[in-house]
Amino acid sequence: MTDARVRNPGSCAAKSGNVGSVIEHHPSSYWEQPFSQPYFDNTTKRETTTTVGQSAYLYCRVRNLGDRAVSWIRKRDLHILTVGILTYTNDQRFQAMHSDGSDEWTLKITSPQVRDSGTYECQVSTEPKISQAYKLNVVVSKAKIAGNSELYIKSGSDINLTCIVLQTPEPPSFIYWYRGEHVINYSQRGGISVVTEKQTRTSRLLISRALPTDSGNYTCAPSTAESASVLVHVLNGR
Amino acid sequence: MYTYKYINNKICLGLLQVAWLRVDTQTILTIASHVITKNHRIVVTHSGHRTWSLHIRETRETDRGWYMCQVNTDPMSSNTGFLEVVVPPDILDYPTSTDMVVREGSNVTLRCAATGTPEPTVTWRREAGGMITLSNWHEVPVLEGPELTLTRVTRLHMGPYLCIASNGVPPTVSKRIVLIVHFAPMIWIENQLIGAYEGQTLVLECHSEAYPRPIVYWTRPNNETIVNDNNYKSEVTAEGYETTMRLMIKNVRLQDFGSFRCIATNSLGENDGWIKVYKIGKPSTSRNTNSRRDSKKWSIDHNKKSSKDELILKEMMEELEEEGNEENSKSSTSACGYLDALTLIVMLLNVFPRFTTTTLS
Repeated sequence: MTDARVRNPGSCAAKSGNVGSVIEHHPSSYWEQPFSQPYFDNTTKRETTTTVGQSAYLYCRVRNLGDRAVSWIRKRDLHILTVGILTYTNDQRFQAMHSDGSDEWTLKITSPQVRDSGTYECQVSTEPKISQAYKLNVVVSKAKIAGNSELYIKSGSDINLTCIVLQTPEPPSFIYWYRGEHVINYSQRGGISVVTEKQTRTSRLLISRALPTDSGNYTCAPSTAESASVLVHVLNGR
Repeated sequence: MYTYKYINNKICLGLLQVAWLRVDTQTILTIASHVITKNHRIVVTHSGHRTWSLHIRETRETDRGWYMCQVNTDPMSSNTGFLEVVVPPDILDYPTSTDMVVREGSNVTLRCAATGTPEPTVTWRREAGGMITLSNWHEVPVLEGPELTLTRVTRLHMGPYLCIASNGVPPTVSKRIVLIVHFAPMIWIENQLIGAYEGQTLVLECHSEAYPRPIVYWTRPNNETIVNDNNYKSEVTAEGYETTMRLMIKNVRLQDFGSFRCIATNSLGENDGWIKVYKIGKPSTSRNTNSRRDSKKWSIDHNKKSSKDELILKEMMEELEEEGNEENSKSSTSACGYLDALTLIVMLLNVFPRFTTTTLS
């Protein structure tokens, strides 16, 4: 895939040099089928959910494009994002991805925000235009640890924390547990077990026979969601 | 990468680019000086980098709508403007009324459907500036609205109506709708009693109103239907639903005393009227002494404007004369006939009391 980023003023000279040789080029299919109209390949996904910070991709596939251009616009405010492989918007997070000769015109949105949620349109410059709408949901995924935000445990009891990742479109690829600043080191102390289930998006941390030294701020940090913390106090009992 | 060709120049035009879009359809039209859409009627021009103009050639109705001018600032800025496409009015064949035929007394609605932008107003007029008679007997020269409803239509409503559609965009168009009112014949007669002496020339006159135009004829006192011959000549003139029928008796004979009947028949009915011709004595020639003054007076009147009766008589006499003198050459016939008729009228006026009274009064 070519990341064609044109709004960058510095790329001006470089790009036009590259372009000069291809201006007169017409795809052979255009001449072979002069009357064929472009059409969409409808197999691509039309609704995408992504989490904040996870790049989003909207895939638009057009057959028989000929000399027409594929553009992406944001329907909410009619903001033109890209035309061909060039970016019109000054919002640098949007870019068109296309490799020579392919039918795919992908809109990439890097570090999407919740406000980017909405409908995007892949538009072909025929008269009248043909278009396909894509719905993008950008969600904030959050981890949540069951129970109170502060735990009091008698010394010698077990610390049992269950973390669940909410609102994540995809299972997180990993979930880390921290105590304080550091990833919990299983080997440092015996009796620690972590059971992470990707499918249910949960992770359970079990520390058996806790001691006051196990007190601290425990954090569950999934790969694609905001982390959650709980403050654990291990009390000196007899 | 053929898609480059649109943007090739654009890259170097400057940081900010002006784009034009069609808002309704969310279609990108132009970016900078490049036309993106394959709509060949779209052109973009600019003077410097301040004014960017979108041109639409051969505008169509479908071009009406909002257009957006967009600049790729961050955040994006835009402005919209509305393009109104006006269309001159057009009158639709349907459901606009065609010519209408109705019975007198019934109701009728004339319809006129017009398209155009802005929406045209429809007004109704009668041809030749006549008045439209409404159900409350009010008369108006113009009526507005797509429908003209006439309740209890009378024969006075008959005639061509104009439906005129205008919306301020020339040309204004109109359609002519003829309203035909059917009714059975009625007859009226001015003189139902006419005194005449033997040998006199006489014209009987009946007026009829009927539509469709009636078949009219006369019967003699013996009830025979009259056909044109040397003695009788019937003439019919019709205008609109009014028919005037005249019967000229060139030489009143004994059998002509009695009641003549004029009959008018159409598809809706028949009606007749009676004119009784009774015998009077031939006026004495002593009146001739006064007649010079009378005739003089008549000739003055004639120079101004001949009375209707005199003209009718004159014309009919001419025609009868022509028929009687068919052996004469054409040119001499007309000239002589005319002169003869004139003398005859002068003579008649002198002797025939009815005409004398007319001229004297």
